[in-house]
Amino acid sequence: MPEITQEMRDEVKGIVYNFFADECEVDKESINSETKVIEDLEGDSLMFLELLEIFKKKYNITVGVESIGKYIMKHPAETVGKIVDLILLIIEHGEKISEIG
Amino acid sequence: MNEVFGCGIDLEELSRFDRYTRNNDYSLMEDICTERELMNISGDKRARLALSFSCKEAFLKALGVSWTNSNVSWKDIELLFDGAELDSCRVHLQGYAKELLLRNRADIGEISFEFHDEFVLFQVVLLKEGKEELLSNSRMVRI
Repeated sequence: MPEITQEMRDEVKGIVYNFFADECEVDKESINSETKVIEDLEGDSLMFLELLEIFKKKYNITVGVESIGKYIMKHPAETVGKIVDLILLIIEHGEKISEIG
Repeated sequence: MNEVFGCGIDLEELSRFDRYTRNNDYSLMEDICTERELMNISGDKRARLALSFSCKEAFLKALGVSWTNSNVSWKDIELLFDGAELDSCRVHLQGYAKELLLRNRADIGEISFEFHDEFVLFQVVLLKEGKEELLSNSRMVRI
């Protein structure tokens, strides 16, 4: 289980913000932790999968979308900030994310 | 006339699937497509991937669920092509998607798709009170 450092947090946040800025064609400066992915950025499932894929490759993570789905059922990730937190949890826990209460 | 259980429409832009066919990188599609689907993708791969994803999204909408609020997964909805062309394919439901239909005594009613410019549109209508012997987990789609 990799240790989540502040450097890693900053890197993940940067990648997530850049991703949504590019994909949703908005200024990165207009995105903050409270920005709603669907309502404000018109994000969708495919975008989330693409973002997930970036991190799976970068951190060599093995995790199925079903496990992530089970976690999101308990902990909705509607904002960019929550997406960043979710990605960090995925990096930290991998497949076991579904076991988090 | 059967009552409508649900309907779903999904529109996808073909260019969003370029990155997979261009790089032959289907790792993301492995999360949402079954092995059979991935083996079945040939010919115009971009169009088939887009159609497959659009089909799955339309069915999720028709079922009234998403991958984040139910046990239904994208892999529960399979779109398999009968040949080299796009004009004939078959939808196969399994897992929780099929269970959801069975539990609600619903069935696949109308399904159709069309390509227009750089977009694909997939439409699904699910009907209530389907006869059990017709509770098909498989239905031919033709455009």
